[in-house]
Amino acid sequence: MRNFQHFNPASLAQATTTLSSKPDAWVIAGGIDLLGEMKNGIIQPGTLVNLKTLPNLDYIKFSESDGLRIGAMATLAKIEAHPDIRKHFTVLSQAAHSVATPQIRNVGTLGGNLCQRPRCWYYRNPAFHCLKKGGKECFSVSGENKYNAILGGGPVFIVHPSDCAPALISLGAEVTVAGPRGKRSMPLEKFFILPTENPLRENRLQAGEVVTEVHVPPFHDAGSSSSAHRSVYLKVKERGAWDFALASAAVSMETNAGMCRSVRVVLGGVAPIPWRCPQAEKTCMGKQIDEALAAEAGKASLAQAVPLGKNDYKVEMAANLIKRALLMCSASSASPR
Amino acid sequence: MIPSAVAEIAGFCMQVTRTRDPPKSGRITATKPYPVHLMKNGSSKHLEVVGKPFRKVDASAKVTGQTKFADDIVLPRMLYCKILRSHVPHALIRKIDTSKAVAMPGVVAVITGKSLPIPYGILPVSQDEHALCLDKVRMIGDPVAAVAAIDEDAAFEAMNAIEVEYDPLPVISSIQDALRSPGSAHMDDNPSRTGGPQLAGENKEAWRIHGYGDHGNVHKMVALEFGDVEEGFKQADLIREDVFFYEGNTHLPMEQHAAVAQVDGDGKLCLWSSTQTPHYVHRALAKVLEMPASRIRVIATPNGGGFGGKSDPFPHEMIVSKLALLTGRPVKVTLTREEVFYCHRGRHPVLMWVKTGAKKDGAITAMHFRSFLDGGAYGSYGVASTYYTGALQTVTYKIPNYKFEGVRVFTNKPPCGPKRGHGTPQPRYALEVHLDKIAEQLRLDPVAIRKNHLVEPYSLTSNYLRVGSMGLAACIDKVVTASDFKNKFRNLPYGKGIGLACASYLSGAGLPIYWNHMPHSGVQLRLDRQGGVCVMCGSIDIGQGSDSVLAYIIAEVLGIDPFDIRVLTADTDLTPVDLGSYSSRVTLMTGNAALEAAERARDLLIRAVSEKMNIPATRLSLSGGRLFDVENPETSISFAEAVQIAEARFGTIGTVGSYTPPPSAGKYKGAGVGPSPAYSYDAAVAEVEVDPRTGIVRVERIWIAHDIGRAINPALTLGQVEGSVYMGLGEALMEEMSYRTNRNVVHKFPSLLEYKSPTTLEMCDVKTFLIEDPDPNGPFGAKEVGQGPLLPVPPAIANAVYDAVQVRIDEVPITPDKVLSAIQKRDEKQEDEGESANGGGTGITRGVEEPHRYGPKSVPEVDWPEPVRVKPPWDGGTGKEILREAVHARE
Repeated sequence: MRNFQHFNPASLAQATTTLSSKPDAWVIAGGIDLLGEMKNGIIQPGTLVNLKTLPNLDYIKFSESDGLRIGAMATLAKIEAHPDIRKHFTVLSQAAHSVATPQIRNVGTLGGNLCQRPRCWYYRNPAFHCLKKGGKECFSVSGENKYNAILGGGPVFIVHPSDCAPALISLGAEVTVAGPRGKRSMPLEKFFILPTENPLRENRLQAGEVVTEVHVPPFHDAGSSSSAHRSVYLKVKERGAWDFALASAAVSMETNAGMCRSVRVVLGGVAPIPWRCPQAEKTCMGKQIDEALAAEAGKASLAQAVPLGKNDYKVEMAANLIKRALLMCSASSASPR
Repeated sequence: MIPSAVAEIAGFCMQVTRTRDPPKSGRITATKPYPVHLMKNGSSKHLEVVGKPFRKVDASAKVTGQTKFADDIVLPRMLYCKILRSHVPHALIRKIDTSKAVAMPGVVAVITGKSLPIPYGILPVSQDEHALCLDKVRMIGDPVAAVAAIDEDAAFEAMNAIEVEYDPLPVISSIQDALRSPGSAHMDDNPSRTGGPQLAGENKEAWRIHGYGDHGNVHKMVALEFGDVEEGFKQADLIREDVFFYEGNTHLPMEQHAAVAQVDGDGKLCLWSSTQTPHYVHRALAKVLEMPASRIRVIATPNGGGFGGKSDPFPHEMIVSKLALLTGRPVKVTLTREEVFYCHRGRHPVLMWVKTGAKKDGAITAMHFRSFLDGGAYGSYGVASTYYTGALQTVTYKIPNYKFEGVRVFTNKPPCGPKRGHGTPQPRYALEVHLDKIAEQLRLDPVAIRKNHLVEPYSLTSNYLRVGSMGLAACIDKVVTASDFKNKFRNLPYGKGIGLACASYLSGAGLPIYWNHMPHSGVQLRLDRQGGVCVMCGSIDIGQGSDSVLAYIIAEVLGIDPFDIRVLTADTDLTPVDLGSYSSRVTLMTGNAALEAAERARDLLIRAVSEKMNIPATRLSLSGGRLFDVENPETSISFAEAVQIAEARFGTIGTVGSYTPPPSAGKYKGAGVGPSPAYSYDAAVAEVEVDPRTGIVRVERIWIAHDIGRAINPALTLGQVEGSVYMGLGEALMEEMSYRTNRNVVHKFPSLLEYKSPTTLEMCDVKTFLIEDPDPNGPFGAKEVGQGPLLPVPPAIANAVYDAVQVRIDEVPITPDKVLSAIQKRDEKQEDEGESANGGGTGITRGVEEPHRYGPKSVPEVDWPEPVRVKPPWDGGTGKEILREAVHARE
């Protein structure tokens, strides 16, 4: 790692101005992902703009009328432990809990989790000037692609590593970003972009912009007696901790009298962005969810999957995860297998 | 009283079973078919230290962070070294330009291969390494140039300023590539078929990684036949063939390799290094630096884990030594985690084929075993590793006719070498899964097929390995009963399974690395007149507790507190040679040397005191820090007084002890690998849960019984067993040194994050049983424990996975994608064919219903050399090979 300047800005405005005026300035929050990139020689920042010293960016606020607001600097540990998140947004609490290790969650932030760079072996190795880094080729296509994308891939086949993103998208979250020209908000789902749009980036952040807040809207009638809201995050990893998803599924569902009234299904670890599954949602809408329907929803979501050669196991795995998550969210299942 | 005995820490989680009563007199009275090393203790005292769960002698320093590891050493005016490593896998070095680096501030010296042109290597037959590559790089990570600078940053910047131009050569990245590459005897003369680049296609030498070896990129081929396997197959009721693959993996010690070199005012060099083999490093340094060994001192610092990964002499050790000599200043290097991955020397990836003939009752009539080792870029221990993949198959179950063929190839990857179990976990995995399949095919109980055909204790195997005490039957009984195996096997619900496997390992290699007739371990003991005892030995504590074992054994014999003993180890200036901490040799070999030295010291004390106090020597005993008359215990003197009496009588009291293993029974070429003074035995049962929807395998519990002969310290033994289970679990389920084969760049992501090893969440419950059947060759009957308990873990898990989901995973590690893909294929097939699922097997064994499997389908065709043929002992064999007919006689 090379030497760099460490800058503590006095305000968010100063942070974004510095970031946009210095081409070799990078933003640092928890630093978990950034330091890895620096140590691996993928980026060599001249200046790090530290957000940790800025006030009022690590809040978690909940009210029944406004829903949930989380500052970008809130740590994953705080999110997973927050009682309102546990109660109302289980999927997010579970997703935050599934990240890495307790030490990392104590430091890693929500903003960092959403904006982390891909884990692809080729991207992370300085010896490979791959397409993701401005090169000509995505080496995973003909090389090691066990962990790469089966959906939405091309020309780059990374998978998005975030656990919180699929969970938040399943909850219909919006993200707010701040830049030198002020703030703007968008649905979190629209924040992420496919490599066809820009192979070098995974999101719509522009020069100098940083994520400041994520907002989860309230549910329509969470209080009504016949309706229920359940959400769940399932993540398959090769070991119990400190691992990224081979595949993950976030499902958030409202049921009324056992019928699925609204549902969002999002996969992680299988595509360059958190992968929304409208086919699964359509299959379930207005119906009572049973094994067969859940399995059908899973299969339908993966119908378009194109494995690369060493990752076809992900197709079955992801379909099974959707099935299991749907059954867990619907009232009908006690212990889905 | 012996103080400091740890409360029964081991008692609650471990059970010790003694199959015989402990020798009452401390003497092992067994009538053995061959001469044994006896404990010459005439006294009648009970064991006071041996067998007790004492803490380690170095425990306090370790847990309070005061142990000085190599990286903790800081010397005045010390320079820091960084090593530039190749980023291409195979290339000629056209040019190295160090001028920019030399001119940078803070840089004191820059060296390249020209400064260290002498080759070296751990084995005399594989002197194929250079401290810095001379004209050619053979893998990514090969060292090319080195910098010494006033701090690490300056060294790093200068390292990056060195410019190297390479002429790329074709890349060999797999066993198949290596066997077929031009210049090999198996080559098909069409380079494009290897998938490699076309450049230098006509020049066969360009494809060759080394200019030595059997041919092409074949490093070593071996073929041995004991008895007549074809004849054995004729007697079989069933013949079965299977193919397996065991992926390579690495040691992952917590401590990265580090070394510091210093030259004193008289021009003598001192090297501190985290090495498991200071003696071999000493030899290699003398060779490479062209200096007399007497002017070089190697001190092995405590290792923060070794597992075999610090058993070779390494480039960084030569480099800092050379830089210290050139600059006159101390020079330090600490490898980065990435560099540790490049140094590797870990588990060989091995492709295996095994064919076994068995009678209806499971008795093996013949076995033919082939192994293909992906050796990586250098020889390292590879010749020994190759033999090891075929050596220990015979010491568990009777194999009357046995044939082994093995081939090790060079590839452009970090070199493989010894890792915990050295060359034996791979064939053991294959053998135990293969046996499970045979049992199923013969409709035999997997317990019975093993237990009914065990090798006899105190017998010779078909390949002339001398088995001593053999507690495998007791091991099997323990784990089978404790796990309720018989009721659970094939009766658990879908997704849950149970599996059994056995294993055996050496208690030290019978032969040294370089040919000589000297002892393998030496101990010097010094007693001073104030009662102090200092033991000096070349052995190195790599965390396994060898310093403690020295202290325990000497304390036992001299009747003193082990924590009062000064243990001085692994310093080539001060301590007699011990070959190093590898092959599970230290407790047995160093232990025997210590025992001899201690008994000699005890005899001197007793003789002197006997004369002085006029009490017969046979009545004197040492215990609790005193020397006393056993018939009149009130008559006693302190240990220090006894030493004073002895010193007055004999002069300065110092004794020596040494140990040389018994000569091996095999005399054929290749007989050097496999013999050991004693073999440990293990049986393990694994219970697993497999999620058929995700392929995730969770090992819930492992019951393991280890035949240790005698536990010198049951608490340390337990640590070794559990550590081995942990490591075996990682190898079985996730660890792999995988390489990227495309773009001709072979390289894995060398990081602790991407290289998956188990966390505490994956660690299963372990129930350990120790079987104690003292072996006549071990000190107090002790055998090894550091490596053997790893061996049964991967096959026990593989067998349990099959029991759980009825698919065979014939490839380690057993990762979710493999499990899922095998289940998926089976389910598709069942949907297609209705009820009867069939096929998907190796395609080798025909005519029987084969369960679905994931694994290699075949092994490459190889022209094996004529085997060395040896008659088994029961067939009138002498251990020598049968003389081949002269070539002209056949023509």
